[in-house]
Amino acid sequence: MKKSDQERIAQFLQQNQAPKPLPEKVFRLKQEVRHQAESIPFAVLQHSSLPDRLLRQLPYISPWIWPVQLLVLLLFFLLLRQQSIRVETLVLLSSTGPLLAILPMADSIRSFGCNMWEMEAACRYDLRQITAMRLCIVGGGDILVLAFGSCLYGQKMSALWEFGLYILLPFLVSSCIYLQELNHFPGKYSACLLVSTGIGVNLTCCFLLGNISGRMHAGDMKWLPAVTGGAVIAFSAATVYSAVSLCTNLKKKEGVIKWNLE
Amino acid sequence: MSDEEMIDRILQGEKSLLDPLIDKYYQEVFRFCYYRTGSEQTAYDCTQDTFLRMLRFMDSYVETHKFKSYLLHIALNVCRDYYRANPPPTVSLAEDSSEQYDGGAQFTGQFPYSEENDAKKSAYERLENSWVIQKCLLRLPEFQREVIILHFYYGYKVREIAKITDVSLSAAKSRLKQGLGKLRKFFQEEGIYEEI
Repeated sequence: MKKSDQERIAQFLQQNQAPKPLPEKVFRLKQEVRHQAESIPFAVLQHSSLPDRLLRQLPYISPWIWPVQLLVLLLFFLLLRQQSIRVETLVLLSSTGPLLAILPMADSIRSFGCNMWEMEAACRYDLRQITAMRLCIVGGGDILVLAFGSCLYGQKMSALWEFGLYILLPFLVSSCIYLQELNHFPGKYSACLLVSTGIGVNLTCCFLLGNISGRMHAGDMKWLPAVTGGAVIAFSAATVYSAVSLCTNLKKKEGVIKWNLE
Repeated sequence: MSDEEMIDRILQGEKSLLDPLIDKYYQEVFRFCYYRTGSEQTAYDCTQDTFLRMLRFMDSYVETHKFKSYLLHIALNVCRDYYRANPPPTVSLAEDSSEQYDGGAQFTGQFPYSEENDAKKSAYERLENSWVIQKCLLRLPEFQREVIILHFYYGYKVREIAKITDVSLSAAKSRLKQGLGKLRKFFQEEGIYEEI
């Protein structure tokens, strides 16, 4: 339709003006609203602090996540206690990265199996807040485990970049991939997709890292420490970006449902 | 005070702020309900339901959109619910619009010449046009009517209309385009489109 036609129709429509509402109707509505407002105790939960909200989410996180994280911590402790850490040990430890990374995702995808996200989206805390808080809690646990591992490792070897290459990088790469999968392929089969991705990432990391360590012993790849540092920074940023995108997309899904609950 | 501040303070217990909130938005909501339903009484009922529903779910309001859009969204759903429970009668094209009541005196459709009658005649023509335009608006399917009302009476862009009506951008654009096409056709059938 031409712009001039639209303008003409707009002019026509403006000729039809609604009547002014009667003051007595407005007054009666105000009385009714005041009367009903007396019986409504408005909640002020949205003003609770972040630590308080995180604590409220803690009981809802699957209890099996904590033993798995403790197990990884124990593994770090047992393997890194050795006098000299062999390359094979490091390659074995690299498989803990994808395992740790899948824990927060496994908890988040519970919302998408059986379409639970619809119910959660109607809750007081919207789904993106719930997901972000759970990612923070379980991810925080992962970071603590990794920090402990790096402290243990740092005592043995001065080349901390090896810890970055063998443990941090697989963790960050798999976190990034998992978050992108949750973002673009949420649904009933997310769990299978995550597990198969985790296995794939694990096998690829073991293969690549085994080759890299062989070439390092041969004296090649002197640029590896610098590249590792850069890769850790880049993948850290990518992981944060993926987490924010996931939460933002959840916000788009849930915002409409909250407005006019019937 | 912004709407968000007002709502925040209401939620913290300052319920006296509900009155100024209603004063601010009653007319906007009423206008929407009137254009949407075509009936003044129904518009009053829907406006009341809108504000009561707003009150009931005020603590779940998420400050991501303007409060006016939020209210219009509620009003839209209230009007739809109203018509689900009370389907409107069909609007007949054959209704004769030439007989109108002017403040109690019966109008015969004839205006003898005088300045006063000229003023009455143009007022009558405006009233008749208004009635015809409202009739054409009511002939539109409800989803297209809502988009037309929000675009032409409230000045919302298509993106905002898509958010208020819970549809995709392309669906909102399509409803606007189809609504305009049908409206033009109805105006032409009523013989008023060529007048300007």
